[in-house]
Amino acid sequence: MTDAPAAAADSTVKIRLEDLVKHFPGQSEPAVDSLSLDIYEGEIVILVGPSGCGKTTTMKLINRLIEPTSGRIFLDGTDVTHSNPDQLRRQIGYVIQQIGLFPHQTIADNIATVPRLLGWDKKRIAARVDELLETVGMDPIAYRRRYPKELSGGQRQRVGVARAMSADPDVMLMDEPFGAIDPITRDRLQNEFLRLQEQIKKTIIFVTHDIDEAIKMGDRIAILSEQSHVAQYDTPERILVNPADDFVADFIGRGASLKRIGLSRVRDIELQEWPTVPDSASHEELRRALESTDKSAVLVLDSQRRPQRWVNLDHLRRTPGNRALIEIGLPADAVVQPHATLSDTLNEMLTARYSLAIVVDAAHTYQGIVDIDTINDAVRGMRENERGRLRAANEQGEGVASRP
Amino acid sequence: MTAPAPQASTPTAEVRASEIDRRRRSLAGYLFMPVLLTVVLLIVVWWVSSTDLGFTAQRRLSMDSALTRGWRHIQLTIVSTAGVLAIAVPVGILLTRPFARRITPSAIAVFNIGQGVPSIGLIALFALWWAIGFWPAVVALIAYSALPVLRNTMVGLEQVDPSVIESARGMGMTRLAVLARIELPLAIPVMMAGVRTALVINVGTATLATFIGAGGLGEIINAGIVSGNELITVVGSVLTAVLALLIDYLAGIAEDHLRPRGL
Repeated sequence: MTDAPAAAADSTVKIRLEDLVKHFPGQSEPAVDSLSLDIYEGEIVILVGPSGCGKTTTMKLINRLIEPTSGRIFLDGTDVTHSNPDQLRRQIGYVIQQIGLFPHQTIADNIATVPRLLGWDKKRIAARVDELLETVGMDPIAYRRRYPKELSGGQRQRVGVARAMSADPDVMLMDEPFGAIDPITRDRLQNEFLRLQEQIKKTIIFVTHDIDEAIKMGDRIAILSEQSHVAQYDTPERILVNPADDFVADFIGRGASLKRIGLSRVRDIELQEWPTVPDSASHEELRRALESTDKSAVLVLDSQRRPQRWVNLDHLRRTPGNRALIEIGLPADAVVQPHATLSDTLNEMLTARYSLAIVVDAAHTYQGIVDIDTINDAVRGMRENERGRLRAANEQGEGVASRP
Repeated sequence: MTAPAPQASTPTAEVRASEIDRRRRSLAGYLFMPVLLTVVLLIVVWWVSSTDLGFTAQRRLSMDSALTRGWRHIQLTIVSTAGVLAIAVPVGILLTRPFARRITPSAIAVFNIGQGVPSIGLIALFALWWAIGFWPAVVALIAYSALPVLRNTMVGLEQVDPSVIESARGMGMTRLAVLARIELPLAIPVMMAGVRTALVINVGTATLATFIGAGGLGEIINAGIVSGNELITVVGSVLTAVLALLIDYLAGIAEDHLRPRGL
């Protein structure tokens, strides 16, 4: 599975690792054993695996903080295995879990580290520092003169990312950058980082032991087993649908189906039609709408077609005919927008105790309905599509190279 | 990304900044020691001048002779401490480099010998083996006080957070740049504590230099002991103590100002 997945064949390879081996002196087994991996430009590639699988060592081989015993590293097609390591590292952003800000330097000096090494002039450095602080959402005037110990953990992490981006490297290495941060801040920083990545489009190698973080952050995930053997290298969707072996399946864990519905969105599935009536309609009109459908309830919309109430026959029977529709039935809860994930949608349903959710657009206008069966079908469909794709690929492979 | 409101965070930042400043002393803190030492000196002067001394004692305790010996004492202290810095700091740096890990224990053992031998014995040994006078005394003092500077240099460098060094190396700083710009500045507080210890040891031990003819305040103390004049002994000891406290005080100020901000 170390071969490039078919879908990425047309993207440019930014980093190529070729048969990398790291054998630490005094250890019987190599820490990284013959690792080959292609990393595509502009992608976040996650190295994920259990503790001690060599993922951090692998990352440090790329900027040669650890020198490989054998094998080759290519950056932009150039062999950098034996180039000057200090020069190489100045082209590669580096963020570690402990962040490692210099405690005796101001935030501005910390961020200016690499530009100074590259000999930028003072004006350019000062402008770049302010720009980066703004990029990571910190006010330059308030923060540039402060010292690291005056910042919170989340702020230090932002400064760490800003510092890694200071000389605008194409490639960034991040070793559990959100590992030491509380879950709420971590979630926020992850989202911010993904939004930032949409603008900066860097090639990022990201190490984590947390499969959920890998699925959330990764364009592509390399699941590593002992000695950095690549168990599977693919997009999160395909890994979840089709784990390559028991190790991967085990590592993803029992929650694979749940994680999968966290990846597909409401806009990717077909919405159901549902009978609706305007809130100005009479009870008689609503009864007719109910009779002409097999659904048990009708959705009442206001004049802007925004969902208001669910009304069924029972509600009609129990209330006098002169009550407005807006006052009877059940509230139209469990409302989602098209960009919501299926997992969010399911969550909304469970919270509202309904078996369906109403889909609206940004202006809150009614679009359609998603119910539990639709979600179930969508998951099944993903799995079958993937199986079909694989079967086709295998048949092709057998025809050409007669591989087992 | 959402910026935390600057208005909301500025006050806390000011509080924190003043916490950093508070670690440097207040004016009263700076003045206490010099005032105390001046008072002690004035008491000594008043006591000496109001006591009827014999002719020899008067000559020994004249302002002139006290100043000459005090100056010699300061020279012994400063020169030997400078020697200690010149030797122990580079050796301490070398011994903390990865390539030197294996020879570190034996190197420290060598420095331990200097500290292990009793000071008077060490000074006598140097006099026997070399000569009497200023320089043998300086060398003996160096051998005696090098260990605290060496140890603190090593401890200071070793306590630097490895993740700070890793991130510096990971950004492409050379080993030498990491040492000069990251490790040494961060090790300064611990190293300075070692230097203060060496200074105080040297002030005290330099009183023994008189036995190999290197002068210093030890001459006054010794003269008091030899002539059985308690007053002279007490004055010599008090002057040594005042000098030790003064030097420690000055080193403390230097330490405050050398400590990098932000620590």
